[in-house]
Amino acid sequence: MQAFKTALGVCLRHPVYLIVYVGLLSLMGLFMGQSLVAAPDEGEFSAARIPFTVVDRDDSRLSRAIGEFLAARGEWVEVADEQRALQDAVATGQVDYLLIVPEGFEEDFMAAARGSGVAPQLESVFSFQSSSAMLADTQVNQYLRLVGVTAALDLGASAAQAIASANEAAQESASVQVVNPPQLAVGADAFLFYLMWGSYPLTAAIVVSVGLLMGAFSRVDVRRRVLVSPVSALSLGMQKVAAGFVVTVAVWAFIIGLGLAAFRGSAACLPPGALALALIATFLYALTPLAIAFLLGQLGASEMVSNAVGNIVGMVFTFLGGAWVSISLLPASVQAVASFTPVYWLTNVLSSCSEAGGATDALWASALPSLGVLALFAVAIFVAALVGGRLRLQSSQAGGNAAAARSR
Amino acid sequence: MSAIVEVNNLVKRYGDVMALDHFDLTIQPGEVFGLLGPNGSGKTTAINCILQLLTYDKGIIQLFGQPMTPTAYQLKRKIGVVPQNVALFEELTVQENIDFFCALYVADRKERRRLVEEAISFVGLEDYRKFRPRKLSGGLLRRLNIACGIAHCPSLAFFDEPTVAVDPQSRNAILEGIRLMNERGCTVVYTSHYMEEVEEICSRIMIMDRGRAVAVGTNAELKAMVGTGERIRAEVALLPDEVRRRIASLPHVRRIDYDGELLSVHCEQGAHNVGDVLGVLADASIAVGRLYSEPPTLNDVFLEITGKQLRD
Repeated sequence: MQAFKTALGVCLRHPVYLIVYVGLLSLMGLFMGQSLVAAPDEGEFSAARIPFTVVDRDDSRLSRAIGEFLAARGEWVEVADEQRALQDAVATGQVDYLLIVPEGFEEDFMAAARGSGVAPQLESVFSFQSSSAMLADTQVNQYLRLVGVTAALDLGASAAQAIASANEAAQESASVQVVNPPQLAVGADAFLFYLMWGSYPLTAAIVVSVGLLMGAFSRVDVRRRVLVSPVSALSLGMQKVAAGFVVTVAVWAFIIGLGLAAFRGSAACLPPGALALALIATFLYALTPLAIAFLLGQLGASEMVSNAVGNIVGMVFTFLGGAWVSISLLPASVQAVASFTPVYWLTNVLSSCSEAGGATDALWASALPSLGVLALFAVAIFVAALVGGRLRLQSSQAGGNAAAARSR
Repeated sequence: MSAIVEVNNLVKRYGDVMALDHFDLTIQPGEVFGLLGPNGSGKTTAINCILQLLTYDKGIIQLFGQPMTPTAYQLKRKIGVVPQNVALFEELTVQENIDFFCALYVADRKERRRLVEEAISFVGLEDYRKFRPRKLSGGLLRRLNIACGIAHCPSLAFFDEPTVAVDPQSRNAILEGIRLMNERGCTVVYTSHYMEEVEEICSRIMIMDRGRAVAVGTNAELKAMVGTGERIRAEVALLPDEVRRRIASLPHVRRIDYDGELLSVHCEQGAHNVGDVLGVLADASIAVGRLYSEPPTLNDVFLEITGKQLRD
């Protein structure tokens, strides 16, 4: 048991890694997940109001009516009718929507509505930061269509009458009510996102921490000293793996516990079976970084190498696995490669959890292949580590026969 | 009394290179046995084969009268090893390092605590027990390395060049510690290419070269094996050829060297070699500065047997 205790001691003597990789990275996931938590349901809808300006070069009843129409839906900002001032207003975000009514607009518009002449165009500019501006432009065009239709239908109506009629019609609006989504699992997105994000801290923390403790025993001279002792290599190996497993469980438990505490409402949206599946999948995934750390230990990787591998592998796995960016947004070739990363299969399971209804039996049945692949990743790397360790035993780097031969 | 280490006909090859060439070794209980040889002579390879860290092509190795194998844990329990390179956990303190390596041999915690304390005081690290290795000097690190290897009170201890890159003070402490261990009943196998150390502490010495034992015996026995009895050195400013010839023709003189300042006369065992040489110089009215006589060294033994310097 001494090797087991010492291995854990070695890991604990590097608290900075645990703080950074487990603590800080998990907190980062926590903050990102919080952004997905839905705002409290107030049962009311209020339309967005945008800053806008109307440059009225026509100074007609219709141009003023357009201004009033927009004023009811946004905040009017006075901007001088100068090219530089207009450009600045949009570029600096002073206004999201800029509408220029050209001179003679009303006259040309009414004539066009009654079939003589071409309809004049309004000049509009939107801020690229606001899609509400585009919606406002659509509403202005709809309003003008109402004026145009009234003018076309009643050829004797003046512009003022057509505007009044259009204003009356524009008063009508659909009633909007916020309704809770029918599927409860939608509320679990924040927690599931946190779990997906968690694949990065899990990978980095386990690879680095377990890699360090494995590496401490793999230093050539320490290994040789232990080999001449009455402790069998099997016993020593088992104690090291057991210590690595304990670290893995601790890291997993901390990350999951933090997520459950922070997103308890979100996690509660999952049926118990789906929640259990999500946690088991995450744990199975954690065995892959454990196997990678074991491989690094067998190969005698240094602290720096463990750090590099933990971060690079963690980022590559997490990115390709679709935990940060939906895999469907990636090119087909990248998607093909992604299936060779364990996070891809973890994401599959977590995504299916988010779509789960009440029937978790079917969910489990569909997730089993992914769970199997996750376990296979860990087993395959673990076997590779055993083979690598065996080969290294005789290598010059490990001080085996080849080293002795080289020293001659 | 049966041998504590017995190696017969050990052969170890690295490709075409014969690292151990039908190597034989017998060490009796209570000895401080020195393995002396230049770098690459096979000392460390021999120890690594004995400890089963390396496989070998042929030969029989027995420790405590039983065959030594990689799984001979009962035998390994009685062995202590102090490797050439410092082998420690950087993350553990002095006390924790000794405790870990001691625990590989001693399961009982109380017993181990006592042994660890003994080992710490044995190597004089009482003031450094809470220090991590990176805070220790080279000499202190070597002492810690030794404590980790002998804390469990082995019956047989292997020291592989434990004084390499060590300051004279720590070196003396290490050698004194080895002597003390031996007095307490531990058989010691000590490898080095520092002949002075081996002469100082070893009761029996084996000189190795090219994987073979070229001579074995006590310090005196080894020196008796060779013709050189003593070396007389005299500082003389001028040495005419006639005088050189007269000295060379003296009885027991085997060879003389003169570099313009220092005259070296290599003699066989003789009752009054110094007097004879001085007499010739006095007859020729040659003023002598300092004059001294040296007994043969192990390097002389090695030189005479192999034709090359031990420290090549």
